[in-house]
Amino acid sequence: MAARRAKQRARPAAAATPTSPSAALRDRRVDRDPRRDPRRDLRRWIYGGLDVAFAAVYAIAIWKVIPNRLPSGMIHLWTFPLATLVMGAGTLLGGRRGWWIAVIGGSAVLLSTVVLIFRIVVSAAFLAGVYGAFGKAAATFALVMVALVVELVALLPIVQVKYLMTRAGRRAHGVP
Amino acid sequence: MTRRTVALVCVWTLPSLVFLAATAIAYGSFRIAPPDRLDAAERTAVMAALRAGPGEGAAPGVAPGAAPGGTAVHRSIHGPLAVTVWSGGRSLLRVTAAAADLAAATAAAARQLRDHPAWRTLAPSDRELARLQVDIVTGTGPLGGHSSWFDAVAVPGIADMLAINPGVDGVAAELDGKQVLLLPHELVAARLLAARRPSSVFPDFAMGADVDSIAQLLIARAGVAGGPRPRALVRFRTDSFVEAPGHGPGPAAAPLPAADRAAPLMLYRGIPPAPRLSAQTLRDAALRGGRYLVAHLAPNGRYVYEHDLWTGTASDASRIGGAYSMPRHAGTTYFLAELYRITREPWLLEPIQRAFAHLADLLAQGTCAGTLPDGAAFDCVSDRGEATAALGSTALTVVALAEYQRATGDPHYLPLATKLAAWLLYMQRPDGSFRHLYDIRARKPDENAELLYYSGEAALALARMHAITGEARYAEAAGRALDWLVDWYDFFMAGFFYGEEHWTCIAAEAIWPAVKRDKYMEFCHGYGAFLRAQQPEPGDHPDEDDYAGAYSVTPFVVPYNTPAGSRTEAMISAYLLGKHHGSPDRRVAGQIRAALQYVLAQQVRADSNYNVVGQGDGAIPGSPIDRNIRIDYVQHVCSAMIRASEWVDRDP
Repeated sequence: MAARRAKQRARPAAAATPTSPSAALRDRRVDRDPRRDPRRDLRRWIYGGLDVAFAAVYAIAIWKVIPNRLPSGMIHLWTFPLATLVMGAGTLLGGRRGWWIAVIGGSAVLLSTVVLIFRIVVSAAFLAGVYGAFGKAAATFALVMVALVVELVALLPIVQVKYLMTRAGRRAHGVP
Repeated sequence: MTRRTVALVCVWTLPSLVFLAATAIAYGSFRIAPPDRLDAAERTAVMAALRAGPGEGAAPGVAPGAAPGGTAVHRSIHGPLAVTVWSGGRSLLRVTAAAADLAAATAAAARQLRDHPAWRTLAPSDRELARLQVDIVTGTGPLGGHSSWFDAVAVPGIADMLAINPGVDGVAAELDGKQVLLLPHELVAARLLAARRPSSVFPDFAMGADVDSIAQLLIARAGVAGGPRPRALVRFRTDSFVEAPGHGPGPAAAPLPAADRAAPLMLYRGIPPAPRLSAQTLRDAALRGGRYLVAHLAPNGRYVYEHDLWTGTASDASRIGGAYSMPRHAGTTYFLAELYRITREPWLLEPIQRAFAHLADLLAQGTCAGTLPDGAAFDCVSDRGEATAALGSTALTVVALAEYQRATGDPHYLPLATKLAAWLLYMQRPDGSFRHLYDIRARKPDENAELLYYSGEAALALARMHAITGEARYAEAAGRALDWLVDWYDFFMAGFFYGEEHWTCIAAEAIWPAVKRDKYMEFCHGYGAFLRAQQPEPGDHPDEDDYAGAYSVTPFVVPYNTPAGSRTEAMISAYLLGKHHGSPDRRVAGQIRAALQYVLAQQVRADSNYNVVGQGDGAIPGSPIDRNIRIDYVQHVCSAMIRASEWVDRDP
């Protein structure tokens, strides 16, 4: 790791020597490498765009498709689009503050997902206690629900928070 | 071990451990173990002690809680013992006694019963006829919706909406230092167990307990109206049993020895054990259903459409219109004709003719009659004042009239059936499908309306017309209708999803052998497999073994009884169709037996009519917790019973 850092530090000096046209082209490519020029890391914009799109889809789904009459249910559901939007805003904002906002937003989505799965598990146990069994159909339905929640809600923040925590993600946001 | 390794191990194991612990805590908190039930001798002893107590008083020297000459049942009990006295189907009174020992609680309850004014004013003969129900509280648990920690972490709505196992759980509360109980059957009677409407998309779909109203009811029961809301509500389970119909000592001239008197019947969800399935039991049960319908046929030929067993209130058969359904009138009469064809019971004939006379009366008013474009005379069935004629009303009338002719050989109604069938043929499109509604004034079919059941009913009507006339045009039309119905399922994933196709399978069997197509049998066996997946077996849901054989979605949704009948009618046809093709499906036969065993338990009979107001013998309630009867509930279930009685003992 120290060797790689030393190599990267040494490169600007090498650029001072005259080069052939093909070598200059290669150097331009190197300059575009996000590892060398974090401001050009496209992933930041891709993640930010996905966050905004997912937040919009979640909001429409909660508003139109799965409206919930119970306030506690609504509050929990709305944490998904709001936290996703926060994650997206942080990612698009960039900088140290943006990085922190994105990490907190992503963690909030993940936490909310874990709480949702916890609620499903506990409710299934409650129903099994009251009714003596949960039943194959209900168990299948609950598992499908959890799988869908993981796939549709948890996957994006998992990947994005992982990216934010990597060196590339931190550099893209100007975080040392 | 490095910090990274420890972190990784935690990340991969802690969530599972947390979920597992949460599951164990929630399950353990809310589980009430099934009761350790009293055996027949113990139940008899408890009941005898109660009867001895409230009568002339226990004999001197008799142990508390024991009948004279009997032995007291000593057993530690978890909660109070409640005794409900049923007289004329109504709950006359209830007493509750608490003690640590069953014998002591029984003695205390007997004393209360003896001193109760309602009991004292009851004539001795009525006391003898009254049936005592005992509920012994065997365990308690918290009530969802009233459990602060759980309500906060559960999926919103689950804790309060599905808090109570209907008909099995009771609810208790401490009010003014006094424990107040609402027994499982009292919650059912109060109609508070399917009182929530969870979705605005399906406004008719109700499920889930109304816990707030239950709390109000407890306050009212405690006699502290306007008092504080109970702080802690708890669920409880009971060991319940009721006196059998022959519990009494018999006539004074020839009293029955104690050993010959029927032991009290164990109850589960308010229902005693079912009779054993056999051809004879099914035949008896179907005839009981027939008697119920005949007793609910008014002099004007219309049925008493609904009857509430809790209150005895019933629909007014003299009132035209309202919720009365002409397809159901025809379908019910069809069942009576079918019952007559199979049993030849003479008492069925006059009511069948009376119900037909009502249809003929409606037809004679000529609101829906005339000449078709091809010059054929037609009739169609519609109730007075209706502007639209439904295909199903006419189709089922044809089925009923044809069934009458099959049963009696009397062609009296054949001209009428022919005119009705002409209209059915007119309503059929060239591709085999049907128009379902017909504007009587404009004399025009509605090309867009699609309603459940009607196409299958029309296919059956045409098949039956072929059976009584032998005319090929009916067989051809029925075949085209069935082809359209069966071929509709030619899509990706077909075979995994089915609509309500029970009339389709009945028609497919009815048209055999005039139309023989393997695809009909394959379709109906596939439909059977689809339905079987919804049919729990004993042991699948330990607390809900009484639902075994019904068609249910999960253990926490109470199944309706009618589908167990209508789908069994279809499965009987599917099984017979398989036999005709030389490949009967034994799994379908097992499915039929399971469903019939379930509905045998649900039917109101002498054992289970202790809480029935009015003439309810033979009735099939809406569900184990819905005591409302509609004529078609009886029709479908009893039709399945009588048809199965023809082969159930014979076939493996």
